[in-house]
Amino acid sequence: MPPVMEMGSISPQARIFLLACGLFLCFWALRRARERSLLVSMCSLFISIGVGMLLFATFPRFFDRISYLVGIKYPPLLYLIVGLLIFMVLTAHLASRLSLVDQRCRRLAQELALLNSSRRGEE
Amino acid sequence: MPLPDDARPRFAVIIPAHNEGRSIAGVLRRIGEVVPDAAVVVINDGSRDDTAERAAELGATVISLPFNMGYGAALHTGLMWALRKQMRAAVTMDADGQHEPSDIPRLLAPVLAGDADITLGSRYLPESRCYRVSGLRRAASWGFAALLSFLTGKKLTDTTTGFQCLGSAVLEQWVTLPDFPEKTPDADLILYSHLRGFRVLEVAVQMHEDEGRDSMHGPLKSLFYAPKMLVAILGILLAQPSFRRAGK
Repeated sequence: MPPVMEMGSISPQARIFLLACGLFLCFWALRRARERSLLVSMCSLFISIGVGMLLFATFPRFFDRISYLVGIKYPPLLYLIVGLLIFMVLTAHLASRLSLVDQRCRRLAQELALLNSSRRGEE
Repeated sequence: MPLPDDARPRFAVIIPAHNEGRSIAGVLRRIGEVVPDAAVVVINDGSRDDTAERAAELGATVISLPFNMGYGAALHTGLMWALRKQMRAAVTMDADGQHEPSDIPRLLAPVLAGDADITLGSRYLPESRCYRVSGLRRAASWGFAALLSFLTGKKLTDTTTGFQCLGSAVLEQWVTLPDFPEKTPDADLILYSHLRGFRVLEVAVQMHEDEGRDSMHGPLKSLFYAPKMLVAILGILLAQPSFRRAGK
């Protein structure tokens, strides 16, 4: 029979899983940064999330205390809110980057078309 | 309608085209008959057919975009070309034969005479001659016309028309817009221009029914038109104070 856990506690298996995920995320982001295949700002973001997971797996009680401090009596709810916030911020950031890249790509394509047309006119 | 003498001049007819190989030749021939001195430019928006070849055969300047980018991007490219060629005015029209080339002088005249900065070819004025527009499309068009009339304080009947004439000042303003609408440059740009202090005038034109092939205004695109346009209009209204600060 599995041991009864306190409210807000986290099992050793879950901590190991979180540690592994955090480490994977950090190494993956560092490797991408080394290969220069991911923007530095994105690498920093993923490393921050990975470090957050590592800290949470190492000091779960600390995060529980933060939860009680901010008035949330059921700590997993805080983690859910924080996780959702991170996703929302990330999505907003990516959407704005995508819009900018789209605008620039469109402008480049337009300039290319105009350049080709004027070159053909000169020939 | 004959153009004034000092209005002989350099004006462009901009035609965004996507897979319009079957209709583009007819449109270009009619333009050549009506306004032989116009600089005609066809923006080939990633067509898979022979649109570009047919347009080039008939003497039009063809600008081929490297891939399909949408009506707004194609139109914007044409406007960029016209601005760089220092055109005094630019008429925009569809390649599907919906717009009647013989109306081009009617759209041009007020802009070249300095009576308006933009003229809109309306299919809903009493003197207009128009095909039978479907109920839903008519309702959407009426809704946007009513909204724009309310926001601009002047009676507008057809804010979704792509048959327009822009003076050089408007041309410059639209080209330098950092976020020119990619898909739907219609009512939002009319409102933007009005708020920038440009004079908008509607002119009665005749419009034929488009043949509804794989053109730039498909039914699926129309479905998303209304919500996108409402957001675009809201964005322009919210940006209005910055226009006032920047001046015309």
